[in-house]
Amino acid sequence: MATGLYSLGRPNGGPRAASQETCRQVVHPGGGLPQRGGQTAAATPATVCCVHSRFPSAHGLRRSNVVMCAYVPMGCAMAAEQDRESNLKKGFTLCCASLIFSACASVALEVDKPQRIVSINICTDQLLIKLVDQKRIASLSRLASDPRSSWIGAEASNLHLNRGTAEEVITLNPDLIITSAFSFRPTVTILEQLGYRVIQLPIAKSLDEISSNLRILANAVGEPDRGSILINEFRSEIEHQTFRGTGPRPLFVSYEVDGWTTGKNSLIADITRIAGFETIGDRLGFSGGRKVSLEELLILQPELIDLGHPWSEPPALASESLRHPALRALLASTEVVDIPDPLWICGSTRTLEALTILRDARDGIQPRQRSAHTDG
Amino acid sequence: MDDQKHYYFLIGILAFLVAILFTFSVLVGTTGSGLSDIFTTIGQHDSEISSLIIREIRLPRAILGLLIGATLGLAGATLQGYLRNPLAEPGVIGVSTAAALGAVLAIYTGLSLVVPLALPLMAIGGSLIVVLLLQTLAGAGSVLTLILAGVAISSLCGALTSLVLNLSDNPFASLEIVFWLLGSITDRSMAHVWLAAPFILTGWLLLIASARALDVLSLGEEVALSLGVNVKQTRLLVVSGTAISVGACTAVSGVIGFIGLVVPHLLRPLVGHHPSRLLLASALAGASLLLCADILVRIVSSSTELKLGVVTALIGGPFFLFLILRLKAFYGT
Repeated sequence: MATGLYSLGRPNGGPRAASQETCRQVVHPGGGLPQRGGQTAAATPATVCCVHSRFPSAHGLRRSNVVMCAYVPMGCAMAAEQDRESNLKKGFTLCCASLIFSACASVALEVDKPQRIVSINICTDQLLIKLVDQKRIASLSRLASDPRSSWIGAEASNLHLNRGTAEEVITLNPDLIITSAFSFRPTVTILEQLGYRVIQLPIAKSLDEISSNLRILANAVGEPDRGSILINEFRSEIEHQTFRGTGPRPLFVSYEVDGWTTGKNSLIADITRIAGFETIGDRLGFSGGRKVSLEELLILQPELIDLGHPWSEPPALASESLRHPALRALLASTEVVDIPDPLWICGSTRTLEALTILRDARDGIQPRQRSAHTDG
Repeated sequence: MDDQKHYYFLIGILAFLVAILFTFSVLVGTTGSGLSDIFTTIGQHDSEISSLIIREIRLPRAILGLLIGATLGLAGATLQGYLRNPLAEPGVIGVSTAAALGAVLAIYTGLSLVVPLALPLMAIGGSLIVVLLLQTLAGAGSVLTLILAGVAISSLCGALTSLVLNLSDNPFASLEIVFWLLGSITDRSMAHVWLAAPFILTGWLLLIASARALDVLSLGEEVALSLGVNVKQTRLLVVSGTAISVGACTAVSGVIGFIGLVVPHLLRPLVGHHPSRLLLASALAGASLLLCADILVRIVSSSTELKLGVVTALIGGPFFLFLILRLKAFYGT
C-alpha cells in the first residue's frame, strides 16, 4: 500500500518542509494557543503578554525565538490597547517582564508540555505513541486502527480517532496538532491561520530521517529525553543490522498490488540498500513511486520479491494483477519475503523490523548470473 | 465490377495492416529506454523468460487489441447504419459506459470472484439495457433526441461507475476509475481472452447477419418493409449483437472511445457508402487503430502508461474535426 499512498499524494515540498520544521522546533515559548483562553497562561510571561493580542501571537509563534522577541513589544502594545478597560497596568508590567525574560533566557525556556495532542496522519500517529503517554493524546488518525496500514491498532482502539478535517480537529480543542507532509494542504493551512500550533513532519525517506523526525517530535511534545533514548536504540540497531559484505548485490523488489514499486530516494530504497540489496530504483533509474509492468519485472529477474498487502478484500482490479500467470511463473523461481506493510508505509521505530526481515533473507541469497545487458 | 475489386483491394490492405500491427504488438514491449531497445529486448534474455513474456503477456494483449478494436469498429458501423445516425457509436450513446457500470458492479461486489462469468454477463446486461432504451427513443424522437439521450445516459453511467468505485473500501478502487472510463489492455492475461472472446465472436456473427438489411434500411424503414426486410429481426440482431460484443469487450478493457465513431466515417467513402460493406472494413480498421494506439501507449510512456482512451481520442479527435470540416466543404452548407 505504501506506494499506493505515494501515488495519491506525492509530497510536494520535502526538503523545504524539513527546513521549516527545523525552524519551528526551535521552541515556542509557551507553545499553545494564546488567544484560546488562559490555559497556557502559566507558561511564560511572553505568553501571558500575548494572550490578549490576536495578531502577533499567531505569527510570532511560528518563528524562532529571536524573531519572537521582536514581536513581543508589538504584542504588548496591542494588548495594552485592546485591554484598556481591564487591567492595563498589570498587562504592561507583565510585558516588560517578558521582554527582559526572553532576552536573558530565550534558549533556556522550558517548553510547556502540550496535553491535548492531535495527530491527523498515520505516520505521525505511530511516532507519537512511542513518545508520549496516551493520556496526553486527544486523538489519532482513523487509519491508526486499520491493521493493513498501522501497527498501533491496540493502542488506537482506546483513543479517539479523527478523519483529519479541520472542523473535527478544532472541536477536539488541541494544544498541538501534528501531521506529516502527506496531509491535505488546505487543512494544515486553515489550522495554522486559526492560530493552532501545527507541526508538520517531513516524510522519512531514510532511516536517518526517522531519527530526525523523532527528534523534532520529541522536542515538540516536550519529551527530549525519551526521544534521545529511542533514537540511540534505533541508531545502534541500524548499525548492528547493516550489511557489510562486498561483491555484486542481489536485486530486491517490493512489487505491490497493480505493479507499484518504489524507486530511489525513498525509505524502502534506503532499507533495501542497508540490508545489502540493489534497489529497483537504482537499476531502472527512477525516484518515487512508479508502476513497473509485469514484463519489466520478468526481465529484471529480481532475486527477492515482496508482494505487500494483497488488498483483495474488498475486491478490486488491482489485486487481480497478482494472479497473473506470468507473475506466478516468476514467483515459482524467486524467493519471496513478506514484509508487513505497516512496518514501512511510514518511517517509525518498528521500521527496523522490515530491515531485520530483509537482512535475514539476504544471508541466504546469492546474486543470479546475469547477462551484460541486464546489469547495465 | 470495378467497384467490387476496389472493395476487395481495400479489405486486403486493411487485413494486411492488422496482421502487421498484430505482429508488432507482440514484438514491442514496455521495457527498454529507446526505440531500438524495444525491438531488441526479446532475444537478449534467456528463452524461457522471452517465451513467457510473449505467451502470457503480449499475446493476450495483442489478441484483445484485435478483438476489441474490431468490435468497436464493427459496432460503430452497424449502429450508424441501423440508426441512420452518423454520431451513433457505443461510446457516445452510452452503451460502453453502461457495460463498464455492469462490470464494475460485478467485480467490486466480489460477484465475479465467485462466478467469473458474471463479469461479461453483467457488462452485457448493462449495455443491453441502454441499447433497448435508446432503441425505443430512436423510434419516438428525432436523431437529436437519440444522441442527447445517449450522452445523458453515458454521463449517468460514468458517474455511477465512479460512485461505486469511490464507495469501495479498497484504496485502489478509486484509482481504477481511470481504467474504467479511459480503457486499457495492459497486463491482461489469457484468462481475460477466454472470458470475453466467445461473447465477442457471438456478437460479431449477429452484427454481420444484419448487413444485408442495413443496405435496404438506408433507404428508410418503410421502403425496407416494402422490400421484404424483416425489420423486427434486424433490430434484434443489431441490439443483441452490439450489447453482447461491446459488453464483453468493455468488461475486460474498460471504455475505449472514438474508434467506433471515427473508423466508419473514414471508410464510408472508400466502400461506396454501402452500409454492409462498411462492416468488415470498419472491423479491420478498428482493429488496426486500437492495435496502433496500444503500441503507441507502450512506446510513448514506459514509466506510467497512458490509457488507451487518451490515445484514441488524441488520434480520433483532431481527425474527426478535420473530417467534419471537409465534409462541410464537400457538401456545401
